[in-house]
Amino acid sequence: MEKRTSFRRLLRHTFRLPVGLVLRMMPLMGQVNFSYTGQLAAAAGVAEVVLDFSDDAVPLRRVLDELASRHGSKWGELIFDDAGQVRSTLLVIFDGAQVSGDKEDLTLDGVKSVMLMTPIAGG
Amino acid sequence: MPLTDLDRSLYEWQLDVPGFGESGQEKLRSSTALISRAGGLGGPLAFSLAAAGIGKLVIAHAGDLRLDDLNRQILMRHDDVGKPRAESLAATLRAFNPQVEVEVIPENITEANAAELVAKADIVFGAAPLFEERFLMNRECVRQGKPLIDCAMFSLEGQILPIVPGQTPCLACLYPEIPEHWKRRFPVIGAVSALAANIGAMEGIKLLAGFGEVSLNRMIYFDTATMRFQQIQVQRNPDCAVCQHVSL
Ligand SMILES: [Zn+2]
Repeated sequence: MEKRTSFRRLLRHTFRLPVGLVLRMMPLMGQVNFSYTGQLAAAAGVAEVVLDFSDDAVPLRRVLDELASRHGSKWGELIFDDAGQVRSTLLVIFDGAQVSGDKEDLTLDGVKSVMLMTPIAGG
Repeated sequence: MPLTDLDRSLYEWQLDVPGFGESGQEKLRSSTALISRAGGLGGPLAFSLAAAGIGKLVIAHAGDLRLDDLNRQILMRHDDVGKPRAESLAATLRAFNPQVEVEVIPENITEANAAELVAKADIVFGAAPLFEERFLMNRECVRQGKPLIDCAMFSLEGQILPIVPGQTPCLACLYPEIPEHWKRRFPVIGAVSALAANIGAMEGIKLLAGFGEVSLNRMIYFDTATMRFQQIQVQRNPDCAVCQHVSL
């Protein structure tokens, strides 16, 4: 529960924007911009949210769990596999660069923007 | 292959492009491109490569034309609904630029034909709507050391990933398994697939002709809902099942 309190809140007004509309604001200190592409944005009903953290080194996994509970099960299924692990096919982009390694172990230390991309193959 | 007078007339306006010129045109003229499916994305891609004067197009595309293909499959014609797509697209390309050799295979990419088809080409463009086909192209391109421009779209977004085996991540570096949630049916406006196609075509033209800066190790992403364009740094997976042993 202690960890949950450091994840303060999502800015509520960002959730009422339709998909495709992006809230253009510079993240303030402690804020991280999360953007979703393709199926993730469709499932969430928003393409972008800004999160406010009091702690610098927040584990990405904890944020994904929190976002999944807010965006609903369809969004969560795109992020997590049947075993509850972050999907191997999810691309995680920190400040414009793909992050490699175990996605379960990533932290948002100093990260200003996180982009979550699911694979697409429309042709 | 030296340019003919007809080539110089036909491609006159692009011969003026800095860095391209006659040598770039000659390289294009000597090149063969394989396109995996010529639907909403592969169709405009083939069109642009034909317009630019590629030497030969090999296009793999199965099935008969449906009415609901026509919001995006611009090589097809309304009168051809119900007929093989391969015939329709070949007729359009040949009428548009008779200088370009067009070989149309009325099949999609499969385990049985992937190696043979990739072997025909200097460069491959992935535009199939299924990851199974894209992964086959990727594996064969890595095996044969051929560049692959993977072009994809969904709804109002596009992603273009130029792959040079040994130098950039391959498709399997990014996606180590077939994505479970991708479905054959996806939302599409033809202008978006054509935009992804033409970015992919341009990356391929630069690679073949040897000019400009190809977006290596950077996936090109765009969202036409907001007109946000971005290059995302991507990296090889040292444990990639497809390309981990490949080096330059
Ligand atoms: Zn790889």
